[in-house]
Amino acid sequence: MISPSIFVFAPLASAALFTALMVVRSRNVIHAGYWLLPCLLAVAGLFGSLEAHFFVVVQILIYAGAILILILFALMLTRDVMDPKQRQTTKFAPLAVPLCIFVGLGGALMMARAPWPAIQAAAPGPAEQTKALGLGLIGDYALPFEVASLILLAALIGAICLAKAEKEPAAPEPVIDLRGEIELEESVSAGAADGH
Amino acid sequence: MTANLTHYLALSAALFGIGLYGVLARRNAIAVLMGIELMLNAANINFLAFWRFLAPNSVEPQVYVLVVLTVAAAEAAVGLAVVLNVYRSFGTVNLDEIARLKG
Amino acid sequence: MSELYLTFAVFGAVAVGFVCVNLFIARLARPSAPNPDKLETYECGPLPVGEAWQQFNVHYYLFALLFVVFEVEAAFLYPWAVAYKQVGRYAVVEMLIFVAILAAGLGYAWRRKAIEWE
Repeated sequence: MISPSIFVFAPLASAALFTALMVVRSRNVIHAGYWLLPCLLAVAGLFGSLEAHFFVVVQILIYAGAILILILFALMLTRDVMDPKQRQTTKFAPLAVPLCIFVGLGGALMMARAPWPAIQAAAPGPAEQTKALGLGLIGDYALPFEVASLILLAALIGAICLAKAEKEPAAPEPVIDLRGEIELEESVSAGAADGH
Repeated sequence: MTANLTHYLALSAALFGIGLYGVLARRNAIAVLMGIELMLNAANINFLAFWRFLAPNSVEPQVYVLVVLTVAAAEAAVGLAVVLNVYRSFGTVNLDEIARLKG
Repeated sequence: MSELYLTFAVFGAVAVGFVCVNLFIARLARPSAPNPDKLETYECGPLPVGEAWQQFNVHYYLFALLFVVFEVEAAFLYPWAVAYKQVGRYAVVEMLIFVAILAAGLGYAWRRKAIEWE
């Protein structure tokens, strides 16, 4: 079997697209976070249908296991998850819909019409693949390998600095003062900023 | 009947479009970051589809995917820390209300 | 190569099916006596106060952050571990540099007291 069966691809692809739509459409942002899980798992399944076995595991471990946890924790920490009854979209949303349809469909059409060479080669087995990747990381791609650890170091230090920036600010009063001030300025300058 | 390169590329373009909508239209900063994750996933599907159908014996696309995953993790870590900081000083993660720099 | 995932799919189907079938059987067997008290949040007996949506400690985020960073490191270590025997000392040195850079990050987190629960 050279190519993955359409009967494997179609359900995985529709699951990924449906759950992705739910992620961006859910009114409750917590629900959006939970919809992200099946979406990431469907993408892991698509990696499996592409025979990228190592990345199935990595996708589940890093995306579904770690990044999603980080997102859900951040949702827990930002208390005003906005009321689902409120408007959840910015004023640009009506503009964004045609733009995104254009980008999505246009990109899909462009990709479909491009003359890709037809290479009918079988992918190496799971063990050989991972070994080849490891040899690549040690040999030709040693620089990206080391740079990756620098990226992680920078992210770690930056995120700790940001998350621990201040010792819990002195109660919410100054925050409210600040926002009142902003609103005052806005109303003085007769800004037509759309409020809440 | 088999799925070929175009199927995967079309799927990833569609997923990218959906993620782009999440980035452009959502008001909650964390939901915007979720949209970015969707877009990065679309890019990874693209890379692995090219690897599988055009160069199954090359390691390069796989290295790219690993780097994208690393950057995605770093982006999520720093991005969410920024959101937490913004939340602490503005008391909200609503992107419409965080407009101080507009003056 | 789809046979590779067939076992996995069967395993997943059995696991999900087991839960669904048991919940369905329980639904058939149990008596139905709805009562608003049953829907109350249970807090060791006393009546719950306030909302469930509490302000959580930022330390949850810091721990999740360390988890993410070191899980990505693990993802890099895995292909390395499969391949290093073929390359030898050079590969070990490279990995030591990789780990040392991240160990510096861990040391920083330690010094900033990011891994202590206050």
